Amino acid sequence: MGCCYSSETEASEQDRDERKPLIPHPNPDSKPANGTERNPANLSSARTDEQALLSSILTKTALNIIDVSAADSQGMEQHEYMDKARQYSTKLAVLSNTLSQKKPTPLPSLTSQPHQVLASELVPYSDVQQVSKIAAYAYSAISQIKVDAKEELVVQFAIP
Amino acid sequence: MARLTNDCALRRSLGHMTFPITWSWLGWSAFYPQQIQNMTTALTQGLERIPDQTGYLVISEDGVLASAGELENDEQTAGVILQMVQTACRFHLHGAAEPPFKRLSVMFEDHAYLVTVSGQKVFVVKRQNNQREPISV
Amino acid sequence: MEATLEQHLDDTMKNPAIVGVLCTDSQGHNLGCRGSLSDEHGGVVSVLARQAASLTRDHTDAPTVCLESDSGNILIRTHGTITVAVHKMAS
Repeated sequence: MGCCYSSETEASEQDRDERKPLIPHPNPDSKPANGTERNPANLSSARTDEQALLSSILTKTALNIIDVSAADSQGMEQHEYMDKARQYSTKLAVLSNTLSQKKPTPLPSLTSQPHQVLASELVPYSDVQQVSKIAAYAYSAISQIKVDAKEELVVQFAIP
Repeated sequence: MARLTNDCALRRSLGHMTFPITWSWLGWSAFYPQQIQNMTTALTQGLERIPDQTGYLVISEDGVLASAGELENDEQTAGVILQMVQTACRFHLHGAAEPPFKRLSVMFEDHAYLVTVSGQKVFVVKRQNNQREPISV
Repeated sequence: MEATLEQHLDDTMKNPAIVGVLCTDSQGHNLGCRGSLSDEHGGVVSVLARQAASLTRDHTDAPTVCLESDSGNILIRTHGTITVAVHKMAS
């Protein structure tokens, strides 16, 4: 029984260590934070009921507050904090990169003189005619339609 | 394209010129129609002088900035051409980074649409196509 | 059928000004290509042709799309179910 009990105690101590809060409670003695070390029990006789009530509210509130600025920042050194900040901003940068990739790519500038480019001559009609002829022949080839060629599709240059 | 159509629905007209009200009006609070008109005039002056032009459009990715002639308020053509430009800009030869063209033309029997991009704006001109006779080589 | 198309593409390439030719169906499937135009261009070519066709309601007036530069043009034209792109250098 005793043996069992001691082992239980050991286990519970270990458990408590594991569950130790990262930020320790600043007021382990349940004292009010701002130096008003008044025990509500002692006050009750000297003060009015209203004051006692206010004091108990103050005490209860103080119990529920963890003063982070007063707590030892043993869990986080300055450089660790900087590292974390850097790590988070890197992660954010990666995320915002993938977000911007979903937007359509910005249009490239094709010219610095749009008016001149638009005013210059149209594509020669002969070129348009040539490509429509090539397309028609290709379609015929695909459809296995016999084309009765009336003229040479390919003109040979520099033949004596 | 849905976005462009939405913008179009919200557009206000100012004479021959249109501008999307979906732009950040915070940044534009100092702008008054006269100033916008001056800016647009600078954009379109050269387009007016193009030979055989029957209409033009100036488009940004947010909507139509200016339009005139046969293309006045032609949201549909603006939408199709913006799509075509975006498609054509994906065309690369031999892995080159730059698109291999400075003008995109769509040639019909008697007219043509000529398109180019400069400073994030798409310029479109509709021109008559009078090249009847093939040039014999 | 394919042999006929291949022959046609070869014949087209005999024109010294033409440095590339590509034939694709309406879905961008490559039916054959030569020179500077290759498999990867099929999709853009067929989409451009389809978008251009939507610029007019007159379906008898087939458009030719041209990507123009100082060095040469890429011309795209649809005939029936197929679309052809020709890369022609400036003469």
